[in-house]
Amino acid sequence: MKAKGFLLIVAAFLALGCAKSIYRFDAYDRRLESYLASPEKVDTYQKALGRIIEKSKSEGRRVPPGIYAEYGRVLYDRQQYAQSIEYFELEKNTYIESAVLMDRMIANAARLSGGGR
Amino acid sequence: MREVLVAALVVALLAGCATPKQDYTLYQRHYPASILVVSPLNNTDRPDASDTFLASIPGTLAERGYYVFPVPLSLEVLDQEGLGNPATIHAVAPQELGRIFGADAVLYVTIQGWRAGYVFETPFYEVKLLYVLKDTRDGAVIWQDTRGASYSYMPHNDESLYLTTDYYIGSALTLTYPVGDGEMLWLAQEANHDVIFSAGRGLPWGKYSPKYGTDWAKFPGLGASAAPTAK
Repeated sequence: MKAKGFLLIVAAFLALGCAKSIYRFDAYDRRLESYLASPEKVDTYQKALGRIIEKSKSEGRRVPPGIYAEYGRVLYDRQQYAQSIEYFELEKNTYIESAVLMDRMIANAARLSGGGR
Repeated sequence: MREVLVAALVVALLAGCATPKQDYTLYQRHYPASILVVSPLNNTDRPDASDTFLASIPGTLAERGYYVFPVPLSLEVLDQEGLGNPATIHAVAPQELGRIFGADAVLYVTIQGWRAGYVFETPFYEVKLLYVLKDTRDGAVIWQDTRGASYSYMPHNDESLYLTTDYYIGSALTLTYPVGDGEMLWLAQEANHDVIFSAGRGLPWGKYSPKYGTDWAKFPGLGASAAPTAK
């Protein structure tokens, strides 16, 4: 019985992600799963991304990998190119590893927004 | 005396279960900071398994300290490059993906098992995933876990958890998928976590983890003295 109780506690910690986690993902996995299954629910997805960014910042944490980039991609797909560039820049500045991909997105967005930034 | 015998038996069992050790010499040389996850090869009859797996993996890799390329954006870019099909993407040279994304490594996953049902009226869930990580500079396999372990979850009447490896169910399983909401995502995360966070045979801590560099002694070939090449 004790072992079961311990397992439950371990599971609860894993589920909450509160044990020494680097990031505030805020159930991004579930949001991503829903969005991949139903891409038309992009508004819900965008709001979830916005909340992760806000909460991470308010807790003084680094925004998780890919979240700024995804926010930028949603704006990009809505043809809000100038705004999308801001988020691609944020991703690039937070994670240098994203530079090649972000530069590609920034160049595309700049071209589509009618040249120049 | 009996305790000694039991202890000896346990040791023998553990030794028998031991899997071949990984070698991290190549990993050390090409220590990745960023990982691109491509669409998995899905060898099951559950088409939704791919999306659920893709949703399950970024959190695991990020919490291990790696930069993970955003999944929907990556899928979009691969589509533009004519690499939207999982079979195509798994056949393309990792170097090519490195060029497009600037990724240090690519994670290729094959879904071998994905099922849910009831065993004697008890809910039962299982996923079986094979992982291969390749370097984008020379295409070399720098890490893999192909044990194909099954992660099964049987909630009993008191809601306690039974998480077992290679749980054998046989023909008792009645498939009635989908059983519940979200269990497969949870289970895929458990599988990812078990494999990737495994000391000595998973991925060592990545550059964004505060524990980066602290666990190298546990990984054969990952010398604590050698400087990592993380960028």
